Amino acid sequence: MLRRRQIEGSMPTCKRTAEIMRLMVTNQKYADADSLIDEIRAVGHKIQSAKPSELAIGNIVRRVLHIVREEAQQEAAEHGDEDEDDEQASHSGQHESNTRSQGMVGSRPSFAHNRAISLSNLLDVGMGDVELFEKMDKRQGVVAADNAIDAESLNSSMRRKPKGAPQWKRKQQVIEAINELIEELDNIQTSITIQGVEHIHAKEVILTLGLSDTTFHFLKEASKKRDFQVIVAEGCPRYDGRVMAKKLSESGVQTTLIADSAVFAMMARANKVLVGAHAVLANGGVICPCGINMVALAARKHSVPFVVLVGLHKLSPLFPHDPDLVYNDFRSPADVLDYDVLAEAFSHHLEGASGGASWSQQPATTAASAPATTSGTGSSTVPAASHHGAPTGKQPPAATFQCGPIVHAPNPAFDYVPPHLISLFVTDMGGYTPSYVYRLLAEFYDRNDYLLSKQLGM
Amino acid sequence: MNPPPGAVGPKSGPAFQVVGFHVEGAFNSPVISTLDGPDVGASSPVPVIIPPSFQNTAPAKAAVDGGSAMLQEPAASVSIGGAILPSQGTQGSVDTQRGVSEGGLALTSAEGIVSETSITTKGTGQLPPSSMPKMIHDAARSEAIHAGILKPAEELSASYTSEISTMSTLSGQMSMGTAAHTQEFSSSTMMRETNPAHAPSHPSHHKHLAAPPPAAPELQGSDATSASGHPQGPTSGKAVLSRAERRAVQEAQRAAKAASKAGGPQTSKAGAEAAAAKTGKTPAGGSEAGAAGAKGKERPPPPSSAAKLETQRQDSGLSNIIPTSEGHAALKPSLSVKKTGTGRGGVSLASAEMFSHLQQYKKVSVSMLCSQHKDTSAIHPAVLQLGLQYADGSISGANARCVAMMHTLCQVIEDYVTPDGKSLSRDLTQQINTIITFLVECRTLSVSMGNAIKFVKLKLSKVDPSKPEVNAKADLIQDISDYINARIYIADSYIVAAAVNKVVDGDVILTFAYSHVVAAVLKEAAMRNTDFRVVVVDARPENEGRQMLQKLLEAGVSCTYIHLTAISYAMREVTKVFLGAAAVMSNGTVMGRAGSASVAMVAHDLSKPVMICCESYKFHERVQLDSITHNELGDPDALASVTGRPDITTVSLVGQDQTRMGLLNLKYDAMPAEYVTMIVTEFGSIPPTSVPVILRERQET
Repeated sequence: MLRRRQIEGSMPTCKRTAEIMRLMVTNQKYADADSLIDEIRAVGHKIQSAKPSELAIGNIVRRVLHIVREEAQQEAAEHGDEDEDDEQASHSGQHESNTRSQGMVGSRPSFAHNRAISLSNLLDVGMGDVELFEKMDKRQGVVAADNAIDAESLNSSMRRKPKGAPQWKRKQQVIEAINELIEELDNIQTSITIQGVEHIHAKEVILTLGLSDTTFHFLKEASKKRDFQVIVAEGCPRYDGRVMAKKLSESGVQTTLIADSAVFAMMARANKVLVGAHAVLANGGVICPCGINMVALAARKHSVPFVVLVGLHKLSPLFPHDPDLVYNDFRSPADVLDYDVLAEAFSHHLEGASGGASWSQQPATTAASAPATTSGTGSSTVPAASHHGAPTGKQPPAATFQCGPIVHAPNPAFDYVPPHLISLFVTDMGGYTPSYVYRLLAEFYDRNDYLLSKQLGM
Repeated sequence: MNPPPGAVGPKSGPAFQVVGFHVEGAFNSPVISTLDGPDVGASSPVPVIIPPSFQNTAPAKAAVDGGSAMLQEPAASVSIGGAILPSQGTQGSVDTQRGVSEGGLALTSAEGIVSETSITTKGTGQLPPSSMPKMIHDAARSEAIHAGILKPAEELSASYTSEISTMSTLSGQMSMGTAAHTQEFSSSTMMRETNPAHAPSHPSHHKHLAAPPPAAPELQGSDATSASGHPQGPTSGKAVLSRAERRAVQEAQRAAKAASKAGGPQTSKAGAEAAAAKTGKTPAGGSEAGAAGAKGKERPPPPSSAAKLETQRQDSGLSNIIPTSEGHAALKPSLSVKKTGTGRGGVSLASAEMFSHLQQYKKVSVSMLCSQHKDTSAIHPAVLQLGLQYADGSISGANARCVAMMHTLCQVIEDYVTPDGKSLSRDLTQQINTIITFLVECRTLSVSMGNAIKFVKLKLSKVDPSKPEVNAKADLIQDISDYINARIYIADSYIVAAAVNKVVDGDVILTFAYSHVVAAVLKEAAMRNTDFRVVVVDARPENEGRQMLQKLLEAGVSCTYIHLTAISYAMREVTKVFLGAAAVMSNGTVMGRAGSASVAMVAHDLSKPVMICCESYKFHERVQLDSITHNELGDPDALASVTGRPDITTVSLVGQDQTRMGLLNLKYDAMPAEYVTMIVTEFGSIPPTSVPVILRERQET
């Protein structure tokens, strides 16, 4: 479904993903948390790879994984609570054994020890460490068995095994937590929009580009209490800004529709830029609908606050490396350039051409390879004998194909906006700056899950 | 091509007929059938072939549609149709096939049907096989507009005959009165080949009225007057119109848009035609231009020409139908423009507040201009034409506009005769001032034009009063053409020579919209077999980048075409950015087509060099910080629709009904100097900070 773009937009995909996860957890029986985690990870990876650019899928999978891990953790800790003394002893014993047998992880266990006791801050680094601790624990068991040193550590590894049976109880909690997650997803919109009033004052001029549901509801909510104007850039070639403008004007907001080209000019008179985002990356940058980077730059130039309205389900732990290509999605070039127009352009130097159609509109996704195929200069004296519109549908003879200029109409869907251009994120949990994003990440995801695919083999 | 006033033969008839035909479509077909078809094509200045399918279907459909929608007014259309028949009979040009309905359709009074055809003709306009010359499409489309626009007139006439609305009756009567009055007037004019300069003052009156009189003597009196009354209505009874207008305005606008888009190629043709004629003699040129105007593409001085034409026709005693069609053809464009102009009220809320200091966009029409300028006679027809070309965008771009204006000024100066007791420099300056005011009405002056005007005035003020008029004029014209050559053409060639060296093998050049100089540079680079690619960035609503794309493809350059929103994506692979400019301010701010500032900004962000190709005559002493203080507002309707995306168009048209929704179409934006790496001028490549230096140097010389 994702492949076919039947589901578009991050919100619906998120919900679907979460529902699939719930279904999976409900229907399948897992011996213990680890196998559940592996299973979720595998399925999550599958869904994600169906649509790599929709990062929210991975985010939800990570959230679910995090829930499972948390539950597993809690269980482990409860065990610990039951026989705290034993636990204490076990840890100290482990510590000893660790320092003795494995120097490389020497300092970890003590750290983990603290964490395990204070359940409330099972977050962040602690999470990773506890997890590490568990794994180490297992390994320790092997080591211990080999060395036959420590009864305590054996004990601890034994403790993990009976977990399989009581997992059922935990599973229920996991499902509940996933339900909560879905509910949270439903409420994201409202929890963002209710902040609208705080961010908009009277007589303000808000600039936005394209259509974003969150932005629309945000503005709509704010317009109930405030009187302000909105400038909407139409967001060529999707033209969803027009829909946005229409919706806004219908809900009683003073709206002005401008062409994308006027964004820079109008920025001089705007007080604030509000946009929605497609995904937030780990460095605080965002993936936005195409054209927003331009808006962000203009906002920076004019020192206008650039506010991104985003639900935290879009928070992705990935770092941008060449984000324009890696996380991008390309749409039909026909939106950018009518085939008719091209046909017309080519037919201008069609004079006396007898050859068939040699139309070389490369699919946008082959951006890098296409330009290399011809040298336009070669044909400068002979205005390529036969360039013609695609509609004729004739197969181009290979020879003519080679000699003409090539037109290339990429239609990228997303832009990457670097963190330094963003003034504020308004999320369902409140407002954050880009520099705080890393902290949010730690709060929502487990570090082990950052890369869904990498760990699959393990 | 245009027959001199006296000499009218059967040969010249077809030519005009063709013209009329071209506009009216089905209208003239009976006449065509009687006269020699092929002959028509041969003798007409622009070979116009009406596709047979179009000829046939339009009237037929019209009759059907008209029957359904125009039932309220059957009597009127029939009676008028009957009235016309005799007139045709006298010509011996009755086409029995078409019959009464056709006649009714043809004649002015039965516009109801014509307007009904607006939709059908639109449909049929597409019908002709693709092998037909493109202009036929244009013609069909333009006709569609006119027909669509006439709807109000039809409604008016309907209400007039059935006496539904007292208001309209009133106006109808009024128009009848004026019609009668002008009949006399026009008949008197027809007696003595009146001066065309007089005519433009009451363009619409002339147009209509010139039409009816010939028919009048042959028709029954009452019918004739009503017939003439109807077309009169729209112009005189404006208030009444607004009601009917609302209904018609949407489709009219849609059609107008289509036509204005299609208009491009043909306008130039018509313009060339008109210009060619003008070289012969001015009055004759007027009539020729009128013919062009009748084609619906070029509205310029149709008033005078139409009237003039009529007089010629009548003198020769040729068919009445032809002049009638002429009159109508002339009337319709002006009407159409007026309609659309009044149909949409204020531009938008934002522009009303924030942009109240700028000239609000309005559609310009002959009648509107003439109503504003009482002494239209003072304005040279060439200026009228130029103004309208500016207004409809057929001449755009700083260079093109400037050159066109200078040429026009040359013409004005050439035709200028110093009145007794006045000095040439004084009076001509005065006259040029009125011309400039007129042009400003049509479209805000560009900086290039402002500088050129300054130059002309300077030269004018320096004219030696003792010099004979002929010499003075010749000198002035010489000066102007020198200016054009030195400051524009030669400057361009220098810029091209300088900039082409900046394009090296492996370059990826990014350019925005269309700039004449940049296109020349890239073409030249292609000629030199440099291996480079071009990224053409385009922006709505003008989509000038397509022109650039086409030019580059012709030159064999591989292109990437993107919309402005994808600029961040495309900029990564780019090595250099070439942009044109409308003006460069003395603080280094570059005024360019809206969107160019964004392009420069993104390029700057990614550390790509931005080169502006700009002739130094576009430099201006003014400083500018942002794009709001000085700008031009474009047609907001251009934003309303997306060509080729009907789904989107409808969305926003619905939205527009709300008062809360505004459309703002800025034409230019200001690029801060920090984004500009260098400006390539004819003096060499300079940093933007050196602009005042050049300005100073120029002042000193």
